[in-house]
Amino acid sequence: MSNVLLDVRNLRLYFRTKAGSVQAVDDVSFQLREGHTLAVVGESGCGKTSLAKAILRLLPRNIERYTGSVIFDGQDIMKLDDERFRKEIRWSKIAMVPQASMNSLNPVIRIEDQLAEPLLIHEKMTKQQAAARVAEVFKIVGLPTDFLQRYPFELSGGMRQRATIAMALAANPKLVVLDEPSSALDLLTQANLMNVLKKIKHEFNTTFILITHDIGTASELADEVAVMYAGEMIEYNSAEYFYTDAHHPYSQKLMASVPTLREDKDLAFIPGQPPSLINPPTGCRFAARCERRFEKCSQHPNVTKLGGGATVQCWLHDETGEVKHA
Amino acid sequence: MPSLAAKQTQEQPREQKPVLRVENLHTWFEVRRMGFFKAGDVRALDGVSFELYAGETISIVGESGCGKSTLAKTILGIHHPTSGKIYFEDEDISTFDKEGWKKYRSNIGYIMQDPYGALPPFMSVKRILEEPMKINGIKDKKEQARRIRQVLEEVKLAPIEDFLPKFPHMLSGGQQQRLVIARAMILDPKMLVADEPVSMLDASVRVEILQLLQGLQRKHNLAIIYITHDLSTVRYFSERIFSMYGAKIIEKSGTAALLKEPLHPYTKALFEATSDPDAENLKTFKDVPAGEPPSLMNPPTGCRFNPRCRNMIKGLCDKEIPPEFQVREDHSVACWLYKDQEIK
Repeated sequence: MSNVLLDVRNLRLYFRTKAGSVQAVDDVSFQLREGHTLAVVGESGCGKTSLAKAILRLLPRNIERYTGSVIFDGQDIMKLDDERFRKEIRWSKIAMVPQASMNSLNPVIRIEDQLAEPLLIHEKMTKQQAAARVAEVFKIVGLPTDFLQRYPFELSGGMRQRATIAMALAANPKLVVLDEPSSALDLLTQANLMNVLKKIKHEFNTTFILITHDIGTASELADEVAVMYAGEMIEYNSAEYFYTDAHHPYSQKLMASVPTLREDKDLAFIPGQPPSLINPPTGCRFAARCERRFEKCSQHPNVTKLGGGATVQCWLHDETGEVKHA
Repeated sequence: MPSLAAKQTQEQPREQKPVLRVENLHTWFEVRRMGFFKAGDVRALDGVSFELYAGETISIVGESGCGKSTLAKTILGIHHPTSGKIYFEDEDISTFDKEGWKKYRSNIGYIMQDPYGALPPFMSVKRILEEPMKINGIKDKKEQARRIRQVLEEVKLAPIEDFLPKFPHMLSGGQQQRLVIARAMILDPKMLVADEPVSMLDASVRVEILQLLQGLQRKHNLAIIYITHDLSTVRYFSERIFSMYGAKIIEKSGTAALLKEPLHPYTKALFEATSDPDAENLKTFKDVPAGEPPSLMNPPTGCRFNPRCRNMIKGLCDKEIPPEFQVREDHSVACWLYKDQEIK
């Protein structure tokens, strides 16, 4: 068994707004082993991206509450001050490829110079060293090195997405957070990109957190799957079991709504909408849409540990891990 | 539990006339250098022909830039074809005068990909739905109110009174898309063009919208063109699938037959690239062709897929454009690999 690289405990991130406090990430705890990939799935607005930003401390100004601990490689990085976090952790140890990042490359700077910048700043490399490393990561993501001298507009969408991934990999981080890396790409380009990520994972033992709403694509890379709903992580499960035997009623419904190409199944949908993250219900947040709710669901469910490191936050699974009302 | 089953293909009563007939349609866009000199044409649509019947859905699949949206917009009259003809109920749409166009457009509903971008932010739901009626001469207030009530009921935006004064930003993504569908339906069209109607929505909402469209189609016997890049949803919604690549339709087939056995190497690649949630995926690499779709200004000679194709036959595929080979009764493919398998 490999080491635990990332241990997130009781992480909370609340935003202050005029309407009240938005509980974007609420009491999220999980562990991720080195070399493993965690896919964080859920509907839009469930807090997936906020979770990533909370881990990387990329926060807006209107923070009301930001607590919990993030233990990365044995060190509680929540305790570091902002300057040390920026210098020691962000990008050199934990990198992120934000959503739609292929459109965030600077249009007037050559690809090579953009990719080299974090190396010059964070790794204190010389220009020659940085250029060599950039060429190396460019090859890893499968781009021809003569594209390094080009400007972003001269590359196609898939190539630019690869370039941003190369940029994240350049400083050799242990953990890379990918936020919807492939959703803006075409099908074949997307499949090629997943191949590249898979190769990186096998060859360099890089740990990934993959944030996506596309469970099919996530299954290409994920060792573990975490489901978020209304700011909470309601299930954490091994990918081996998740797609067929999810524990939480929401996860089961979510899986039933995913259309499949190879299997002919009836699709289900979940009526209703997720609750507002301002003053969410005090009990289970999914209760209003859940077909299996019972009296106890008006209280907030505890996180129950199940076998194989899986956790679920649902009253149907009690403390002993037994399934009730099945 | 609310659910959506794969669409049952009923026998098409083919004696009836097609709602829409497209013949050898080309839409080219002129590219100018320095705003003056002609530099060439982008051949966004290059020789497309098909027929669409009432009550039937055709799915058009392909990647961005293959011409699917240009096809939709040419049918809607937003782009004008460079050559070729579109017949709506046997009338050539290029002969229409102003009134003819108005009538034609009121017969086609258009559902766009991004519902929020498709709705004017300063109009209430009521005004959004009144607008097409005002333009098309339905002036009677009572009739307007009746139609608004009917479409909102059909798209299940209830209670209706609560929704009428709302503005688009007050609705969720799914509700916005319902409103777009309601607007498309308000003039009681014979045909819908749905351009990626669910690709911006969450999985759980996606199914709901597809189910809604299926219901509307059954009730109103609508002909639908469903444009998508997502092969996994077509099963639930269409009788026929057309696969497009490089501005041409390269494969036409009944849905069940195509899902069972795609023939064109490009359609096969689309299949391979689509992942179903399965833990086994972790262990294997996808076998998909590298490279990019061709430039439509300067497309490759011969088959447009030949530079990326593994089964390329030298001297044939890169020289001559493959014609459509009818391999089965409801399955044709434009690929030289199937030239000996034609049924006649």
